Amino acid sequence: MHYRQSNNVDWKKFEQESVLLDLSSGYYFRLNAVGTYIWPLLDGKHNIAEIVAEVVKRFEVSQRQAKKDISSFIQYLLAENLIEKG
Amino acid sequence: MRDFAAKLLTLCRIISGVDGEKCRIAGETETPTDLLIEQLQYHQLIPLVYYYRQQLQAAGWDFDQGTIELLKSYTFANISRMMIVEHYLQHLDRLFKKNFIDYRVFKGIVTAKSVYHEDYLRSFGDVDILVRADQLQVIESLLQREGFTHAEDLYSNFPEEIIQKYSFARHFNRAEPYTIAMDVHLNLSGRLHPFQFDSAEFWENSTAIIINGGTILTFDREYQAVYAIYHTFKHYFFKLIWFIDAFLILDQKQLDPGKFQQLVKKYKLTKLLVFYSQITLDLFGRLPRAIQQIRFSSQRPHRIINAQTVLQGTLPYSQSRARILLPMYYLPGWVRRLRFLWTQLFPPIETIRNFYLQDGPQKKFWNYFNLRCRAITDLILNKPQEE
Repeated sequence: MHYRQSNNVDWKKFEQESVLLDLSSGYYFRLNAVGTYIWPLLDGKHNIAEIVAEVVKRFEVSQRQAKKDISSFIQYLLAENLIEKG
Repeated sequence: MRDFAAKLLTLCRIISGVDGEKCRIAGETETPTDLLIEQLQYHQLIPLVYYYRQQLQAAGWDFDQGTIELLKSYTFANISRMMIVEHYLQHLDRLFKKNFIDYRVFKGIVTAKSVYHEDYLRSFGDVDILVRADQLQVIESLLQREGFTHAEDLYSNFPEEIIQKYSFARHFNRAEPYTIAMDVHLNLSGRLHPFQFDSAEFWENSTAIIINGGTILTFDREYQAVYAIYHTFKHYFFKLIWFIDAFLILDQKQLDPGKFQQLVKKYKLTKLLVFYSQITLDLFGRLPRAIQQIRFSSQRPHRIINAQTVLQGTLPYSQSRARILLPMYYLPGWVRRLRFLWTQLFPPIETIRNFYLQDGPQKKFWNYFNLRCRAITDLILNKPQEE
């Protein structure tokens, strides 16, 4: 499954973290270092397995834990309309 | 409060690049976090304090982890705010261009974009634009179509012709989908202000700044500097951020000191600039590049306004008293001072706000006289009044 960032979302890095701004509502979301690393990978080209592999490579985390955390992160982003399928 | 003032002084010295050892906070007592945040918010300094936290800590400002997290959260909010304003300005620029509307952006966003290391370091509320009088109606209807409404503020009770005549700014707010406040100005100074600018000259001397990849026009650096000095005065030197703005604008290598001095002379701001410079030297430990040649006749801080009162964010005067009495110090010449004093004590009848309040008195000379007597009594007794 592939996901890509919604058009109405702007993103800005700040130190190791970042801000996601939903331009249709004005709500902003603060991403931690892992979320900030994942966000550019949600480009419609990387699938979940590839993203999990990248995160495991970059952070000290097991594949199982990474898969679980990334799935819930993606569900959250979907629920907030910050990303879409495809 | 003295402890807090010492902390802010350290911040000023770090910003100006003065040796950290010379500005160590001595004998720090702990400022409660909520009071600290409240004071930093007042001075619009939270992102700056977060940005310089390591240097501030090295200079003796002791932050606990909770305070740092709080400062960081506010900084994140400011980043998102900057992103919103950038996007909205880009949209507004497209809308205005489509409708052949010419405008200049100035103050907060321009300063944030032009002189700070990172734009999010400069907190600001409203977006200020200067527009042409003949395009005002079109602009108002466009803003209304965009969901803006007139803000309920000091001027909203005045009839349109009085707002035009005295060059009051129009304040607009939009709450959905996100909050944007916009001040639309026809002039850079109101007709009752002690200093008058030739807005057309500012308009003609414009430069482009980049916002979200697009270009938006603002005033040239020298004009921004003149306005920044005036702005600190206009608000009675209450907030440290205005001094930091002016310092950074005047410290730019690209700013032409000769051109700046000419403008200061032209707009009769020399005395005000000297006054500003004395406070700036005490705050920052050095003068910014463009005014390094300024010499002072006295090294003594002014007894009413000085670096300490700026750092504490308070004056011994109420705002209404400050508005009338402070120009007595730096307006050039007694004739101008007395004229200003007279206008403040007896302003044109149509600019007395009380007349426009729903349950206010009728517009009769006797009521005007009563209101003025009350205002002058309040002034002498140092009571707050708003007009």
